[in-house]
Amino acid sequence: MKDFDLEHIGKRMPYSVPEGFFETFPDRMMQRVALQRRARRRRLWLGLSTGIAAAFVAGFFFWGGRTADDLYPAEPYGDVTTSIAEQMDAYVSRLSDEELTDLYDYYAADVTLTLYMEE
Amino acid sequence: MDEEILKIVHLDKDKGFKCLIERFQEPLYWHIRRMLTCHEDAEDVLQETFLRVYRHLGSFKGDSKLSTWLYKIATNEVLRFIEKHKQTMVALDDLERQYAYEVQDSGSDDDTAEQLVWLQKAIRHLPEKQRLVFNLRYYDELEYAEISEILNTQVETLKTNFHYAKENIKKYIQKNYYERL
Repeated sequence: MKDFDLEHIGKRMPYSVPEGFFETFPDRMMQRVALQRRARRRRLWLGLSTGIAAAFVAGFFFWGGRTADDLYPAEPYGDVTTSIAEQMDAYVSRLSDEELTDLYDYYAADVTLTLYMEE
Repeated sequence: MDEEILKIVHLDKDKGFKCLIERFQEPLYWHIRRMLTCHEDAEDVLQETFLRVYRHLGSFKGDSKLSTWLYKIATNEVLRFIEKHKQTMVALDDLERQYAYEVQDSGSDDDTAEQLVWLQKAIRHLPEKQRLVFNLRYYDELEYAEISEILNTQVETLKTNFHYAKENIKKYIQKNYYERL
């Protein structure tokens, strides 16, 4: 048996890596990033929708039956008049990843909304 | 190289991020693998590291080197993983079987292979902080100033940790490798 020789061993690692791991990892990582981005937008949209629905219900009981359109009239968006839901959809789709993260973290802290948000 | 990657990130985040992965995946992988041993665990932590990098890429201001920032995130993810999986981490006795299997595939001769295993076992026996310092200094060959930023520890403390790590490795090998002969 050879003497223990750190110089000879050097800095090699005794581990193997599955063949092709580093060749395919970047693409797999980009796919995972894209999946997570879509999942976060869905959860955020669900959270925002729930919040708006809760506001409508509260408003209905508080103001005695007036419709949501009376309380929140649809406003023009550019050349097109859209519903609140479509405006929210457009707003969310324009957010950057950092803005989405901040908004998601804000809503994630809201107990009433986290009940409806899946992990 | 760092500046080029950051320029690409500013122009096209996804393209820049992919360049960043291609540039840093191997050193980060090995940094993580040296702490966790198991490839599957290392891959999980590497993915979590890059996910966190992607989320915060916009907020990287260049106060430190890009590699320092990445190593810091990877180290925190490793420590988080170790904390979460304390009860199910591979037992030290099982490591020898795992190492033997891995070493067979690496193509080393029997004596070198065995010494590689013993060295890793010795490192594995170090306290977590000493292991991190030893790996970053010995294998990643980082300067103490950079390790200080990664681990948020003073340089003098790191030097002490590294010194004790080497002593502990020598003692372990003396006791477990030579004395069994």
